[in-house]
Amino acid sequence: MNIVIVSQKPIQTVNLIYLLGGIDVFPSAIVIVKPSLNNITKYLLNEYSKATVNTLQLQCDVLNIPLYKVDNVTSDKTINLLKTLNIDLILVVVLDVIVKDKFLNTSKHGVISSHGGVLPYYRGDDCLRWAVLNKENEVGTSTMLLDSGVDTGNVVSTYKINLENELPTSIEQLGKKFYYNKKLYSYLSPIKQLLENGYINTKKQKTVEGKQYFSMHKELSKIVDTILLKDKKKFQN
Amino acid sequence: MSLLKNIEQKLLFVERKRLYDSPEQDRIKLKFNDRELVNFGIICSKHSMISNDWRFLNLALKILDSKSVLADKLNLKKEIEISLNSLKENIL
Repeated sequence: MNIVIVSQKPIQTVNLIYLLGGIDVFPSAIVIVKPSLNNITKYLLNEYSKATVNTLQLQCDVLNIPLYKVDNVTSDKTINLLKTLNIDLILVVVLDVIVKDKFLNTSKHGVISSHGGVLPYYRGDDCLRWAVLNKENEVGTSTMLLDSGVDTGNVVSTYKINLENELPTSIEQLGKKFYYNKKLYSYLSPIKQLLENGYINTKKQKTVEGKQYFSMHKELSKIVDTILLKDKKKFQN
Repeated sequence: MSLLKNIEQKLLFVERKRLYDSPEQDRIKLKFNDRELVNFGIICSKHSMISNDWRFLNLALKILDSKSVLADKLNLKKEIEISLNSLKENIL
């Protein structure tokens, strides 16, 4: 089975290679995409550097996995490259663009991605923060089959935690908890399903039940931080 | 104002195109000159208190902060202060 990782985060990709190795799956190729330089996603450049790409290159060399470095994931050049790889499943770790059908169609079973919000309710950006601001009892992440919309693809799995039980002190700690406990692990389930059954179980989203959220302004982010701090004090009392 | 009738649709339109980051000449053809965008920010700020949908206040704050939107923002600032206080009273 040809599984290809498409990512803008070299170190996360190395970690994912290790996790996949744990279930005897090794990607047939890695495509590392240079982040764009817009204001929203420039944080990606923190991890994308010559050093981190070289680290990924080293890991790929050890495992004899081809590593392709591209500037634009939806360019004709990249799409033609993907077509030559005869891909069964693509795992997208992070991409700062909305992918188009021509990208999605390069994989027989589609494209898996992890999203930092509970679908179908929270689509878009800063969903963890928005869920806290909306005083949700539960926050979480979702794994989905990408489509050409913003987080509107069919859902593979959802992971939720109860905010009070977890007693977060900051949004960063909550984010770390999701990332280190769940995000990369969530790619394993659909792969196992595909290997065992030949297909991936998904659930179609009722997008009308949810909303698209956008990057949160710092004034609202401050309120979110205060909510989490206040909840902690309430718990301690 | 914009031909788009629904406030939710307008929010999505402005956010997806990040109109508050564009210079006025790029927005005029979209029926969002500086004055119209500030007015929409005021509507959004008020609507956030009615709907408890704080995405609208979020957009109003972005319009207030925007260096590309040059119209007078005094009324927008006042409305945002009211909405922010309301949000804090409800939530904190």
